[in-house]
Amino acid sequence: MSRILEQWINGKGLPDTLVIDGHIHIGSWRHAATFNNSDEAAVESIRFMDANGIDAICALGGGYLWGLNDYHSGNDFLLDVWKKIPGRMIPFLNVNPNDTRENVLNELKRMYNSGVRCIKLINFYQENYPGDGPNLMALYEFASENRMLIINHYWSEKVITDIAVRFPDIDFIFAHYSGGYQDRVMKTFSNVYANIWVYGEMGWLDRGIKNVGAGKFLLGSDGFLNSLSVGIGPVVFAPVSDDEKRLILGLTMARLLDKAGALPEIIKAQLKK
Amino acid sequence: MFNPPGESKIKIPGLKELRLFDSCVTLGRFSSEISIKSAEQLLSIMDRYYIEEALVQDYHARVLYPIEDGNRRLLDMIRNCPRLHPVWVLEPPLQQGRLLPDRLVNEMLASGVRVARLHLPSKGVLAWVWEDLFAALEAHRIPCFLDFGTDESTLGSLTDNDLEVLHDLVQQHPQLPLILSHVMGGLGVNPGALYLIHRSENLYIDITGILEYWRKIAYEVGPERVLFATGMPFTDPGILVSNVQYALGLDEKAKKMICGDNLRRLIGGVI
Repeated sequence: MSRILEQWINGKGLPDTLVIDGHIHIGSWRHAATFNNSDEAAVESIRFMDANGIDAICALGGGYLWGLNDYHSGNDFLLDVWKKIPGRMIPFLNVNPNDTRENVLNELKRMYNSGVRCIKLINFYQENYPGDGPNLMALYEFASENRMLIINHYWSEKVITDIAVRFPDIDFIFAHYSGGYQDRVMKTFSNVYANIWVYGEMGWLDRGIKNVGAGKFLLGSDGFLNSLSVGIGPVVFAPVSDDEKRLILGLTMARLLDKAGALPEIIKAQLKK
Repeated sequence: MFNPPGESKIKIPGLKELRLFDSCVTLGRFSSEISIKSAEQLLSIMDRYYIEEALVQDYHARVLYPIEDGNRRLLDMIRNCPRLHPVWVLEPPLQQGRLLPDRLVNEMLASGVRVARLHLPSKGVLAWVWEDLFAALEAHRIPCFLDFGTDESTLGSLTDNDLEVLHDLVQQHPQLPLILSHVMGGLGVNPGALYLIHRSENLYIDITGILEYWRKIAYEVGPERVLFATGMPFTDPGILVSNVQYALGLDEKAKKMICGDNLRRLIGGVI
């Protein structure tokens, strides 16, 4: 039996395995409060991580991502939490591309100057702003110049194909793996990956790994609203080797974060041992 | 090799100790690679995920008439498989009154089937359409899984009207265990479902709504109101199988209740 699976089903979590959940939302939410303040968010995040054997989370912001809500407030909350748990959390800033280009670029600069190296986009839920609209093209330019990492809820095949070619310095991550055109794109472009979180049909991840290889997939759960195990389960039970599981659970995300300058030092040090 | 903190720091029970009893599995061949074609295949999948027992309904019993064919086929498919428990899909007879619903329920019990699945949208989510059948089922305390799925999948969502009707049915049949089964809805279960569960003693929810809903019910109302389910093959068991095991704020007894003991208790309560 897979050692990773054996430890997991026996309630031991994931010892000896780097685990980075690449898709976590922290902040006020649309239909319920997740955490009441940044102190609680920091403490509770650690509890959730520790219960599930997770080393670090990529924090994508909460309800301030949506619609016309104020993305600056969401980013401020992320910075607050990050200050409290810098070794266990990697913040992903967000902007609303419907804002003026000047405002979008100013927020990118503000967050970059605060040390943030990763971007979360959700333009699909921001009045469906086009993935290749002018303000997002300006954002990609900024990200390319600064080697930032980008995850987006959704890119169409045409848009991701165009931007993956035009910005080879950026690693792009689909926030929700859906197979289909995503498989074609990931097989074609070395700088495109998929976070695994989706409420998929039986065997969806098994088929994805078979189609494009474990190295293209990144752990994600859409926590803390979801149980974190919704992401871990499909990986640990997958009929693949433990080495492939480790890629998905954390090693590939660590490589991408390191390339962007966003990997926490404590994890970097552990990996060097 | 990476070192801790990867190890879980909170005492987590082993998956086998939780004795998983899946309350939503659909069996039978249909035109998709995900279909589970035989009891043997299903048992093999259950072994992979350490699921001890499962409630099983026939795929075509939900969508093709006569539904009795699907219900009978199910019994043939799972004969000699004590880990698999049959669920019959039932629909209300056209004629008003208890005679035909009672006959239907008695036939089900005589066939060794103690759990029903009710695909409410198939005949309209209307209290007066379902009330006679609900009364017949209530007389025997038969656990009823409320199905709001589509023709192609048990995965469904709730509208405000669905909840309005359920509000009446739940209150009119307080001895009837009713379970919201495989109800999700994109970004979450209709929030009214939580209000209704808070206001009724015989309404349950399974964990397939993911998000925080089942945990909120377990914390605020009690773990006795939550059931484990995977919704396979329409949703992947790997997504759900460890949710209760690694949940925070629930002791081992509560986790065992959710994972299987609640369902065993409901089935044991059939009279």
